[in-house]
Amino acid sequence: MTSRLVLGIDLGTSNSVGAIHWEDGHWSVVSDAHDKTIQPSVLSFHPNGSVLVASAARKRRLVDPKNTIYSAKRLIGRPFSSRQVQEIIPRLSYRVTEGPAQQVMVSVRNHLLSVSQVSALILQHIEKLADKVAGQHVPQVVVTVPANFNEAQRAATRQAARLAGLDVLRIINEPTAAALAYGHGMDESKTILVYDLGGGTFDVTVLRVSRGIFEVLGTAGDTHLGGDDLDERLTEAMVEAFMQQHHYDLNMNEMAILRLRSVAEKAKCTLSDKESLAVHVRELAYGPGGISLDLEYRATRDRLEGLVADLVERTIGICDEAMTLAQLRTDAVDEIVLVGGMTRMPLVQRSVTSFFSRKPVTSINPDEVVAVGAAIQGASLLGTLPASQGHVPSLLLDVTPRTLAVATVGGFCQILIPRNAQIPTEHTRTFTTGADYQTAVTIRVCQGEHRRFEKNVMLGELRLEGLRPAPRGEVRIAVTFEIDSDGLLKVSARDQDSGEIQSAAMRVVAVDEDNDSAWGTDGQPPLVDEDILGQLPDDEGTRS
Amino acid sequence: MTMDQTNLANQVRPLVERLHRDLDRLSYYQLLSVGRTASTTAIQQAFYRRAVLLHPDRHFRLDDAELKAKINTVYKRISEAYRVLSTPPLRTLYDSRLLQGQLRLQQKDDESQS
Repeated sequence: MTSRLVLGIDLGTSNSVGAIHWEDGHWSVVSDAHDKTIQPSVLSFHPNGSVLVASAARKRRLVDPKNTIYSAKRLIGRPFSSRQVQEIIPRLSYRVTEGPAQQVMVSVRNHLLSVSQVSALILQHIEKLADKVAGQHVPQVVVTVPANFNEAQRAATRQAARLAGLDVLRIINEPTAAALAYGHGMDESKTILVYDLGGGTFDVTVLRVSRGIFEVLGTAGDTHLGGDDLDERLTEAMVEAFMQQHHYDLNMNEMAILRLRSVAEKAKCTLSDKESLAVHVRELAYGPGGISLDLEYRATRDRLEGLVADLVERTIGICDEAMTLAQLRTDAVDEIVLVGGMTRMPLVQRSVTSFFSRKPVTSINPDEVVAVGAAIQGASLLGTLPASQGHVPSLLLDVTPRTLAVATVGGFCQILIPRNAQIPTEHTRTFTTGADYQTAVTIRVCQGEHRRFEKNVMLGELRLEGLRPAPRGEVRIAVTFEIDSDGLLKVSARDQDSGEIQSAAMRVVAVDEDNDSAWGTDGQPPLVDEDILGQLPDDEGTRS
Repeated sequence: MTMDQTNLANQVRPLVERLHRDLDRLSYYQLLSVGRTASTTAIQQAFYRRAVLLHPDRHFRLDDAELKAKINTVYKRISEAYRVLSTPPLRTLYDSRLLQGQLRLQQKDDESQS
C-alpha cells in the first residue's frame, strides 16, 4: 500500500521549509537535528568533494563564495539571455553560463549543474529531514511556487522535484497554500487577501473561502521583488557611507560587497525590532600603505524605510492590481494574511494596514504557513484530509496568473487563455496553412499581458507536422491549449476536416526536458555530505 | 485510491455519465442546474456544489481512466458556464445568443497563418 503521508515543500529563494501531513489529519513542520525548521536554500561545493546543503552551506557563503550557490530560484526556468537573468548575474558570487535549451547552468568546481539540479538538491535535503521525522520514506510531495511563476518556471520546478526522486502530486501557488493553511476548517464565508513578500518574489492573492472551498478571485505579483532587493539598497547605502569615510569605492572589491550584503541582511532584520543599530565592520578593505579600513554605519529604521519606500510602495500597487482583477473594493477584504519573513518589517505592516484600512492577522507563522498549506493540499488530493462539520475537505479553485497567447502577423499577440482564468481550462483555436502544399506549421506561444509578442515571455514553439498537402488555407487545424490543475500547459491538435490527430509537441524554453537524468559527466547526482551538516563553526567573517 | 475517493466516484458516476452524454445539448444554466433568473450568488453556490463533486482534484487517485477523462471534460465545461454566468457582461451576451439557440459562448475562431 502506498504511503498516506504527504510532504509539503516551500522551496524559497532564501529559505525552504517542509511540513508533513500525517494520516490522522494533523501536520507538523519538519525540523533538523538543531530544531531548525527554516533551511537556507543554499548549496556549497566543498574542496573535499562533498556538497553542503542549507545551514552548513550558508556558512560557506563568505568563505567560499565562488562555490556557494544561493538564490537559484531567481534563475529557475528563465532563459540565460533574459533581462532578469542578465540583471542578476553581476550580483551573484558564483559563475553561471548558458547551457542547452537556453538554460542557465551553474559552474562550481568541477561541476556544471542546471538550476533544476541545484533546486533538486535542496528539495532532497528537505525530504531527507522529513524522512527522519516520519521514520519512513515520504516521497509524495506538493511543492510551492510563486503565483506569478510562468509555465517554464513551473516546469523547471517540477523537473527539480523529479530529479530529486520525488513523486510530485502537485505544484501549487505559495499565497494559495498560505490561504489553505489559514482558512482550513474556517466556518464563515470570508474574503482573504494573502500578501506574500519573500526573499526574491512578491505575490498577492485574493480568495473567497466558503465551507472548505477556496476560490482564487485574483492574483498578481512580481517575480523579481523581494527581501534581496531591500538588502541591496542597504548595502548600497553602506558602500556610500564607506566612500565618504575613506574615499574608497567598495564596488571594486567583490569580497567586501559580499560581506556587506550579509551584514545588511542581518541589520534589516534587527531593524524590524529595534529603532537603530550601530554597524561596525572591521577590515573591510585596505587603504594606502595597507592600513585596514573599517565601516562605521548607524543604521536606523527611519533611514532604512527611506531607502526602500518605493519598493514597498510597488507591492501596494500590485495589491491594487489584484483587487481590480478580483473586481473587489479594498473594504471587501475580511482578513489579511502576511506571508514571508519580510512582512515582519514595520513599514510593510503599516503600508498594508493603511491601504486596506484593516490590520493584518498576526496569529500565523509567516515562515511556515506555505509549507503547511502545501501539505494540506497534498492530503486533499490523496483524500486523506478529514472533513469536519459538513465542510468539504479543502477544495482549491485556482487561476492561471498570466495570459497565454500566440504570435500573429505583425508581431502581435492573440489571446488564447486570459489571465485569471480558473484552471483546469481549455481553449481551441483554428489555424490554417499560409502556403500551398505546406506540411508543417510553427506556432509561437508566449505568456504575458503585452499586445506585442516580443514584450512577453516566450514559452516555446509548437510545431505541427505531417499536414495533408493541399492548397493554402485548405487545411484547418484545431489546436487545443489546456491548462491542467497543475497550471501546466498541454497542447493537442486535430485536422478539422480529416479528424486526424496531429503531433503537437511544444518545446518549452529554458527547460531541458531531455536532460532529466543527466547529472554531469558521470550521470550521478553529486554526493551530499549530511554528516558535515551543522558541524562547521560559524565562520562568517563579519562582526556587526 | 482511497476509500473516500472510491465512494465519491461511485456517487458521481451517474451524474458524470449524463452530463457527458448531453454536454453539447445543455445550456450553461442546465449545466449548473440553475434557473435563467438565478442571482450571481445562487450561480456561485450552484457551481460550488458541482465543484465539490466534479472537480478533478476530488478524483485525483481515481483508477478508472475513462471516468476520470469524462469528469475532466465535464468539469471544464461547468467551469466555463460559471465563468460566463458570473461575469455580468458575458452573461448578457450569452443570454442573447441563447435565444438564437447557441448553447456555448465561444471565442471567434480567428484564422492565423504561419
